[in-house]
Amino acid sequence: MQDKISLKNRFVKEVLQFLPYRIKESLMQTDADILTELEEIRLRSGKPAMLHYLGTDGFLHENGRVLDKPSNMFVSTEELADTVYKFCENSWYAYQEDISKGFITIKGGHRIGIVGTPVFKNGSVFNIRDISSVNIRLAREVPGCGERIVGYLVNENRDIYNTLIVSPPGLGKTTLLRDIIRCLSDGFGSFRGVKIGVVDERGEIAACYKGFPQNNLGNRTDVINGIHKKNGMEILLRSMSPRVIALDEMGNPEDVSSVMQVINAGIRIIGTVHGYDLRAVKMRRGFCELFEDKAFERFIIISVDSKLQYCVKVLDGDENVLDVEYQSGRKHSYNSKFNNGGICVLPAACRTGGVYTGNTGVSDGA
Amino acid sequence: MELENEIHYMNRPLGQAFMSLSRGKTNRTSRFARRVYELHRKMEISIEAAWRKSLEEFRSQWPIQREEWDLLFCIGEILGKTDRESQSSFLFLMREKFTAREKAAEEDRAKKDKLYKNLGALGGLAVVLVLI
Repeated sequence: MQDKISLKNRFVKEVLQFLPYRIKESLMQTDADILTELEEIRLRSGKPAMLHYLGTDGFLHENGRVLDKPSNMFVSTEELADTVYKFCENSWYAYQEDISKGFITIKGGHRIGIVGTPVFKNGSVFNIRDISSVNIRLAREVPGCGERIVGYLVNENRDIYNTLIVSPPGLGKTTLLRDIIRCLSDGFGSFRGVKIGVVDERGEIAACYKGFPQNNLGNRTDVINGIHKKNGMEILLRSMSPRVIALDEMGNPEDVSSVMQVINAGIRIIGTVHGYDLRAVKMRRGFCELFEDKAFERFIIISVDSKLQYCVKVLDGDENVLDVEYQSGRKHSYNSKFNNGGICVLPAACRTGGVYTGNTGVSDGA
Repeated sequence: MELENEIHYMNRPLGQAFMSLSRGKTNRTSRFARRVYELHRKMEISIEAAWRKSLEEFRSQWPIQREEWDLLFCIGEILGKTDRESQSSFLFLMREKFTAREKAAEEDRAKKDKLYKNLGALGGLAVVLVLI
């Protein structure tokens, strides 16, 4: 219960205060069960506010309920621009490079995706004007989620295997990477822990705010954030002499070639990449060389089936399965039962013993 | 100048920039910076509103002309709303304007000084003449 309250408070402090007043007020009334399971808040110009949670989505109603049909909580273009300005701490200039990439990362590691009309300068995106959609993707730590796996990444309690985490977007690669970093940094069992350098290009791993990592990455971890992976790795190598370098969302061929250089320098790598399986990743530019050179000695593949059952598979460098773990990570909570096919999730005030006691009209978008 | 440094060189968001400017100093500017930061954080108002409100509060303490107040209010309207280069250019332009205003005020003061000195001398002479 305490966890839920602290999670809700964190959500209010880090995200809610920046949202348009109507949406903020509505979300304040929304059931804490939903808020704690919230994955995304989507605001689209001229469309109702939408919430993504527990692998499904719904429209936010002004009374805090979440409906399966569009509500009357429409978001205006001005509200979108104002929201992004607030997320930028009233300082466009401080986030201009992030905005040009289409997202900003705020305190707590939450990622704010922005689309609209790009403004170009010297052939590259310089700004985004007429913002049409904002996607607030909420980050959360899951301490302990990597504890079972991390044993497979350690070689005789002395060394770390070069590891690649593969997963489709939104299944928790970064969350898993974060916990693996924490375990390897602090040590576990008879493993003492190693110096880890983290290149946090998007600020999602450590979620540094004013230089202080918001997430626990262990006591032997140094973080460089807001920098391209290639440059970040070079600086870490020169300045921090890490034993392991961890980085999120490899994909740029330039990053991949830098990874090869780091591996050749005797530094271990733990990275993540978007992908549904190893076959798809191997075909990507840059990665085929890494696979040919057998740069990675461990693979962690995350996938999910139609029943929202998570599967975390650990493979060795020759793709032999070492371990498979099934997790029912994102279960539907009891209060997400449909009422005659109507509402998906309801505020606590409308439930008695987990059963919806209100009228069915709400499901029609009232 | 220091604010320009915070924006252009340090790339700090305005809230942090004002906090940094107010830290460990007790001069008028740092008191003003602290007030802007406090209003922005505690009252959860925008930087523009916090800047405006702080200026209103400090109005009685700063002996400057209306044109200079207008320039100061103008700064609050632009702060944070453009990219880094434009913020720097804007603050540089504002500094130039203040320098020009300062120079004009100096010249005005010197002119008035001379006038009052002459008036004083002539007044004294007049008194002497009247007494004679």
